[in-house]
Amino acid sequence: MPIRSFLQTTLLGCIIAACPMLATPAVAQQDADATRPSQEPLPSPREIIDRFIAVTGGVDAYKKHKYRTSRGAFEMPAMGMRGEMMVKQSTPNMLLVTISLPGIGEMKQGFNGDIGWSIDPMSGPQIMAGKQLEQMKREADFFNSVDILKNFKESKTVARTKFNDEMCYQIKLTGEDGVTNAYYSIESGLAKGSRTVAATPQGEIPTTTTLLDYKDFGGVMVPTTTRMEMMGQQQLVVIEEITFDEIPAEEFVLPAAIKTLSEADAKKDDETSDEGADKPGS
Amino acid sequence: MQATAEDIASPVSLETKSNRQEEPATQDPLLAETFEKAVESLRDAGAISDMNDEDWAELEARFAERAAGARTREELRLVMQEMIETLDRSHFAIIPREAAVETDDDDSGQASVGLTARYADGIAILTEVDPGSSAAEAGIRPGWQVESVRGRSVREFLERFGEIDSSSMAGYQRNAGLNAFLTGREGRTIELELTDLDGETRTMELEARPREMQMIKFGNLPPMSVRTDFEILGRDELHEYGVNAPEGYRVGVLEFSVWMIPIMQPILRAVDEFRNEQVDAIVIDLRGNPGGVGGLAMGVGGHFFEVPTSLGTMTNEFGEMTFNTNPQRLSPDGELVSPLSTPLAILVDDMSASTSEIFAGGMQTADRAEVVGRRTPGMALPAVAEELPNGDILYHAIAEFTLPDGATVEGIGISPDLDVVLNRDAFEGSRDPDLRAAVELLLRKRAESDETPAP
Repeated sequence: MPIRSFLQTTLLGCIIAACPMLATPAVAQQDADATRPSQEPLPSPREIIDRFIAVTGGVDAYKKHKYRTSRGAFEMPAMGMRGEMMVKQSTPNMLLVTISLPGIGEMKQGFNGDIGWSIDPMSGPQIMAGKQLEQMKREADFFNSVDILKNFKESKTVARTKFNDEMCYQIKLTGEDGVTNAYYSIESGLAKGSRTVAATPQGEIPTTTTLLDYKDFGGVMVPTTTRMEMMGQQQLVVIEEITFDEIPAEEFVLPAAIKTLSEADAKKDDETSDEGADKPGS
Repeated sequence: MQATAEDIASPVSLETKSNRQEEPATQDPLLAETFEKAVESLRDAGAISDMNDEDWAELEARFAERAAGARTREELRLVMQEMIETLDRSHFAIIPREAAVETDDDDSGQASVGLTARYADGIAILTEVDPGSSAAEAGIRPGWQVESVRGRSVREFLERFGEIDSSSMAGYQRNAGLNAFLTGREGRTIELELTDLDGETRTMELEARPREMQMIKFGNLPPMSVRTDFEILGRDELHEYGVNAPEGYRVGVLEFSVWMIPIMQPILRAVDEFRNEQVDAIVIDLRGNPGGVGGLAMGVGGHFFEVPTSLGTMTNEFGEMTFNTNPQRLSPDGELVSPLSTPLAILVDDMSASTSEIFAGGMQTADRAEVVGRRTPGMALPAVAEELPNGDILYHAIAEFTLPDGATVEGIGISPDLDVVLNRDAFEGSRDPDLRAAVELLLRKRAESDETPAP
């Protein structure tokens, strides 16, 4: 579920600092978290992912669909906030996430294959860059679940370890944006979650994601509950429905505000590179 | 439900006869579960760096027996309130579930006579009179002293607090209680004994009227009222405030009552107006603004910085998050604009709390604004409002907060660049001495940078 980066900024924006009338503690993660050493060699990341694909429906089931619309609920239990969420995805990597929360309004985040962006009533429109954009690109990949290894420069199975009270294989994935540790159940083969450092406009923040309650949608077993923890606070996403009808390309068009900002940024970049080209010796 | 003069401004005492319960013989398991959950949430939030697991266990042990003896929600509430008061920090409270519920009830206590008061050197001074209010119609002016309300002596009420620092959590509560006296149920008459600037004392009866405010419900927090106003003051208007401004000099003044989502669009419009009218200076009035959604400081701050700029950092045992402004580069019509570089002053007082302190302190530390007024109460901790098993709300901090230079705000407050002493004399020359001081400061700064003689 490609909503992690969204939810990070949502949570952080919603932190209250009002009058009283009214995610893993360190950025540096260890290569191997827990663990009781086992005599058996660890399976390769490829073997773990292939098993995950097999137990959740198989490659053909994953690759059958080109569009996906997920509807459900989004919740911040510590704040007593609950609202509706919709995620639209289209191959290869088009994404639009919309969350509506009472007291806040509508928040959106998207990726059109090139530009990652967000708009919310607290911060206004923003265009992603750097590590945040890298993470968004990966999350927007329609087939990220099955092609996850190709979205990182390096991968290595580093341990058998407990994650959410279940013994898992820990795969260390290294990307341009840093390290993500992904956990797959030794018993069932299902993906159980991950730990990473999320890149946000507010800095890099350790985040733990737990995947729960797998259910079948269109021949693929999908975790319907995603629990994210950062700064000690939780956000929950519960998927209630997934459909695979065609999504018009216009759905992923940049909102007017983002288009204006991105054109301005592109113009500024052109002017900057022109200035550099004009300098002697260039 | 807002506190009125009939309720003392304390979350614990926001209860009515209708919800007091008969005492059962044994404790309801829900109460035990509630106490346990409260301790767990406080401990697991990781907000208090100088308390370890042993300290939390000791705190729990100290209050466990009394909590186990509580037979009603109200009794347990008192125990938990006492427990969290030992933490000696802001942003910890138990809010009764009745106070957190949105209601259409007219009896909301939102009505007011249109006066704002502050404690100042042993007395209560009126600092603001709402235009169009019953107080304004009666000719009441800022600077008058409140002697009694409904026959109750204000001095006696203030003396109950003893010798306390005005710019503190206790000082905040004193002012909150004082202002609660000036509210009432809509249509009620409130009798006030006031002394004007000439020293004449009179008794007046004023009608409590609803204030034009939007009510907003944000998660588990009680409903809050939101109002945003802005105006541009030219030379003639500034003269009424006692400011002798040069010809053509104009100041944009922006005020909002709380940091909640509905302020963002009006602020966007205000900034756009200030930009289009090319005002010479801007004053943001955060006096009496108790805080709200912390993330809004980043959005509002983004109107005044070209690049993302830190207003401070929240830290707990799980990590840290920086309050970076997001440069606001679009007008309300979607046109590309630049954030403003207009000279800026922020008005604060001893009731500018929390997100107001984060914003003012961050802007001050980043050298983007002059802070004018009085030291803030030092109640700036990021917090959440969590529902307990019995329906009451545990409002608790989840992190500590420091300014961009590492300075702590909690327990200390934001010290103004220009301190304005609040007393009756200050109102002799101006109906708003803080605004006057801020504009005069910005004029002096302009003169210093332009080498243009100040008037």
